[in-house]
Amino acid sequence: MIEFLKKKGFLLFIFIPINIVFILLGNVKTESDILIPNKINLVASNIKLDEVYESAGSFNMVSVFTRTGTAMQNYLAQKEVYTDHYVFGASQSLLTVEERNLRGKISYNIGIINSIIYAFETADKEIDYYLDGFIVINIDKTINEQLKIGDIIQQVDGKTITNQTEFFDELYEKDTIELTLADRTITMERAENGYFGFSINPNYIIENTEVKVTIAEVNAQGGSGGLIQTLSLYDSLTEKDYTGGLKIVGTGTIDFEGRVGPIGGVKQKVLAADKDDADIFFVPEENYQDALEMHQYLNSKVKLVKVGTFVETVEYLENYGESND
Amino acid sequence: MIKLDKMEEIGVHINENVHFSTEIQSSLISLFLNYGLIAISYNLCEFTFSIVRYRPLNVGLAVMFSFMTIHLIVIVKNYLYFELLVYKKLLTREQLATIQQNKNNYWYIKYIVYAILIVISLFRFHIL
Repeated sequence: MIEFLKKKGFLLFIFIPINIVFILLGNVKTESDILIPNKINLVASNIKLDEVYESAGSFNMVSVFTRTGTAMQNYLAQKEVYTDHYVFGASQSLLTVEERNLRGKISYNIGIINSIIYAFETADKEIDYYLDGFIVINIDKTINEQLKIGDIIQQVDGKTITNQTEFFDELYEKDTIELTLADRTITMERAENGYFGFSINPNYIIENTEVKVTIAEVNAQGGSGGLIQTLSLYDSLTEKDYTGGLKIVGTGTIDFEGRVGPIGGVKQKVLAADKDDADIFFVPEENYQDALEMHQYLNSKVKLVKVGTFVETVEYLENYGESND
Repeated sequence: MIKLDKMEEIGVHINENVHFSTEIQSSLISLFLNYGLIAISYNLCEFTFSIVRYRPLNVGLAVMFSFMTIHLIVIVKNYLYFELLVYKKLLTREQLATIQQNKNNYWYIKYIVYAILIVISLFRFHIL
């Protein structure tokens, strides 16, 4: 057989180099993700309230599907207008897949908790919650090897912290800090680049709500549903129908002050909203330019609206009927 | 694919066991030589299926590309198979030439179709 192949060496000469290139392109995975447009989902199917004011229209979340592609797929994703290719930064590439998934899941949960608290308070409904430390949502392994994603920081230098600003004030101008976690105490040094190498978010626990809230178990990650979840809850808790019979889609994180924060994969989200015949698409100010590019490319009929705060969004919906008369 | 009955028509009779082992060998070498093309086809199908909702035509192209790959594997396998038969002295060059003469006169059409398919794919997948 080997002798035969030697005789037919030209076959190998032609096929093998091409084969090697194709095998590498088709199998080698890089430290990056491909962003693929997904579809819109009804917020009310993920977060259910026991008593709601019915609305004629709907509030919908829009998601992006991400996965690690091969070198060839990364190339295709870059060339294809509908997809994107996102290369990990130095610290992100050190995280394992499980750590990245956990980070995404924590962000999703924080988004839901923020939405519930902000919507109930804005709608003047009773809600009892308390701060149970600060949850670690990201770590830079080049600096910090002691903390894990998901750790809950209870105290900084023996002091119980009551809000995020106080947390950062406590870290300010200190080169060494002692963090008390639920299961251990660690001492950390400030790195040469000036950072401690971790990011935190307040870990709020909701004890009781005036209207019972049920959160469905879904395989979702990230906090980009914050704004639209808050809108949907607020609309269900108040008598006024803010939907105006429209299919409303939105993206953007939300904080306790009602500020709308930027998200990833906005182009793919505009595409999904357009495909699912949305009427209005709310997009954070920081992402508006990218969203507009895709909107113009698609010649979309969806009304693209940039928003900076929750109040701005509600005002827009209140005035929508009037401005379109 | 040239069928065995064609060989029998020209009086070529091969021991079945030898035939089977030759078939296996040519198939394995062919798969090895075409593995890169299989990987590319799989990647193309996987990627296009992920955005099938937005670009359904691309999936069609990717599937056609995969069929082309399978066909190319069969062509390489057949070539190797008959060359192996000649190498094992189970077939003479003259007999092989007679078998090849029995090929369909329009065999080149599929290559024209493949060339068109590749050009469309290159544009459609934004490679050109």
